Amino acid sequence: MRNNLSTGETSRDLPEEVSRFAEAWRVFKKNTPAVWGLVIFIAFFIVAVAGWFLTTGETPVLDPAKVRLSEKLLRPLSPVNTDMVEPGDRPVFGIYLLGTDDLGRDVFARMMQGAWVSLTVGFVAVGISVVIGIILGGVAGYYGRARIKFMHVLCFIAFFASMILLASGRKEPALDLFVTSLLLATVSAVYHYLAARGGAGPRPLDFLFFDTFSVDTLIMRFVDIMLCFPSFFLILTIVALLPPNIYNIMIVIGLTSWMGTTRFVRAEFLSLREQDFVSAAKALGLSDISIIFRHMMPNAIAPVLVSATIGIATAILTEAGLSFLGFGVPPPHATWGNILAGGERFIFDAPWLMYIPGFSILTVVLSFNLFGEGLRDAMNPKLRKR
Amino acid sequence: MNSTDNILLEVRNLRKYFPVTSGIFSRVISSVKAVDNVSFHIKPGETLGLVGESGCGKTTLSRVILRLAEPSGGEVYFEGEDVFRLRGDRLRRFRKNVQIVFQDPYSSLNPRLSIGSIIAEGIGAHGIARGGKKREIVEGLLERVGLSAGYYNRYPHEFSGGQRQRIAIARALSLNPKLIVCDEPVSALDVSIQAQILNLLGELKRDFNLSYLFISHDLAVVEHVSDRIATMYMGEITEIAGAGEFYSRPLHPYTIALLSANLLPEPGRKRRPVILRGDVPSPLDPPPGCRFHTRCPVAEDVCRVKRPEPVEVSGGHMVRCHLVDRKDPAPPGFLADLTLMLHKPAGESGVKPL
Ligand SMILES: Nc1ncnc2c1ncn2[C@@H]1O[C@H](COP(=O)(O)OP(=O)(O)O)[C@@H](O)[C@H]1O
Ligand code: SF4
Repeated sequence: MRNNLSTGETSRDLPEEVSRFAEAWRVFKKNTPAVWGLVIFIAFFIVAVAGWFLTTGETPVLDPAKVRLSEKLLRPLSPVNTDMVEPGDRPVFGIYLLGTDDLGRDVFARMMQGAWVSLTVGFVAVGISVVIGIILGGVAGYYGRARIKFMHVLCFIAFFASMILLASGRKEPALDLFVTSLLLATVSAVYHYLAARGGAGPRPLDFLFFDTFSVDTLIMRFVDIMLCFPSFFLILTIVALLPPNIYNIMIVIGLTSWMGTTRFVRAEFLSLREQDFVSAAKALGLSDISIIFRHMMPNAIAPVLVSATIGIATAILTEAGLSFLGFGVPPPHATWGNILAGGERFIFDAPWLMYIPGFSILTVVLSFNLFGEGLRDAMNPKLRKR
Repeated sequence: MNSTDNILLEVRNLRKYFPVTSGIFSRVISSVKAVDNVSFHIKPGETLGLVGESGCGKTTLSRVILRLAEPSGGEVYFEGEDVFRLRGDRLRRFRKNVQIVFQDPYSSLNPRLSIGSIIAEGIGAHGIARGGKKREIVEGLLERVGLSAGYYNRYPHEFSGGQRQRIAIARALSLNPKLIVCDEPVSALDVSIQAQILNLLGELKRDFNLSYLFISHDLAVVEHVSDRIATMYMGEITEIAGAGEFYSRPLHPYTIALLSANLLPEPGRKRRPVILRGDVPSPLDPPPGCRFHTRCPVAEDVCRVKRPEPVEVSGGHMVRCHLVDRKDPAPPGFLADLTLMLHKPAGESGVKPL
């Protein structure tokens, strides 16, 4: 009787296979605002990609930069004045769908171009911040308890100082410091090599290798420092120093918004590290690399993607704000922010110049947020099975 | 320990202290002695049961033995090799030989990997087999632990607790180990399924010639699987004895208390009062002298000041208690009549012994 007990339980078949995706989708579907968010998300994506195709090239279908001084501040849906405008300069369908601005440029074409700018700024900036956040958070969470030796701190300071000197153009002292840092690095490499080979016991130079703060302290205090600055002003400061172009804007937004992801990934890693399946993987003798990338990252990534969705909305908003203030993407490129800024002077004569980009930003940002929050709920196992 | 030859795992004076820190400079103000001077050994093919209330350091002990946590002191030898000094290839060989089954089958399987890849992982990492051969081995293991080979591509969330524990056992078996540490493998399962898993472990032990370090807080579970049994209290081993001796001639008051608490009420006899009262003292502030004296029903003055040392009363029977004299191996004081009552053949109920 006992022997068949050990297999008895399993003769019963498993329930129907349900993938995690189907399960998440079932929860997501019930959340109407989130579904609308997703629909607008997809629509925006299509519009932005279409915008890129239609507004670039030698003779774009929609020319956002064409100035028609005779056609200033026309209302949306105004037909083109065929007497004044050359056939080649006319908008498609001979109608200004969203009117024209103070230079007679087609607002529809400018909005299409701006959509593409917003989309790329949002994705690239968030991409940068997510990559930085995952790396720093992962290191802090997995290797955080390791303490940095005094010698390594010296080495790092020397290297960094030499880079700063080099950047400020003082080559001679920079080279000296760089050589010093290489020397220090060689000394520590030799020290560690000997330490790994020899047994216990004191070694020469031990006094230079005492433990200082931990890796976790280093990374998380840096996060705290970055969070001390109101990020918009940090961005404004950096943007004031850099030549304004679309790539710098993306990079700067990315470099100033990784702190949340870092904290997130670190917290996830700290809790995952205590999970038995990670211990089991270690007991099986798997390498750190496969533990991190096969066991921890896939379990930490879902919440990061959710916060990235909301991060894209924030990045779009930041870019619009910068452009509105005149620090953003420079003029020939249209963005929703600078269309808004340009329309501000004509708020009474041509209110559509503000309403159109304003409502577009509102809609897109809102839909990203709703979508992100719906995604978070759908990924939360506690909300399943209801 | 008596002889060093033919010993699979030997643990000597193993210690694991968790520092308790305070303030921004992380000053160490005291430590939790989760494992304190623990020594025992396991022979090939043997099962050592380790019993103790929760929080006594059983899990910490198993993690240190497996090198999942750093020890604070002491040594562990596996097949004569010092485990804490292993590196590179030798460490890999140790990993292959010593595996673990965890208590909670829900957190011990990665929810993002299929059953097949969970079990196959170690086989791939140690280069034992690849491709179709690897799959064949995994399917064989699945069937050996009582699951269908067709579950290869299923995910952990589709399985029940008992089935997940079978998967975890298959994973531990995948490297063909010599020793498996079972850290409360059945505590999280329903009683009806506990017996199945225990029987499975017993079959596997015979088929694969395994040794177990079998950890549990439940004497009834340990009773049926162990060749020898050790009890643990606040990080210390209080008594180790062969299973027969453990039940027929328990000597440590803690062991006797555990046994009496586990007795089933017999018809015609009044249920014995449980003699263990009060809670385990805070591990941050362990009592001086014998750690057990705050709860020991026969504690004497000497117990409050002096730490008892382990005493070997007869071959392989070790006790850590002042009242146990080497020359007079009778249980202390009034506990004697209680132990008389405990006399009963092992393996009477439930599951057959391994
Ligand atoms: N990471 C840790 N940090 C500090 N104390 C710990 C840690 N892990 C365990 N402990 C302490 O060590 C003692 C033993 O814990 P554990 O080994 O989990 O006991 P058991 O497995 O017997 O329930 C407990 O008092 C616990 O509070
Ligand atoms: S040493 Fe004293 S307090 Fe400790 S178990 Fe023995 S009798 Fe009890």
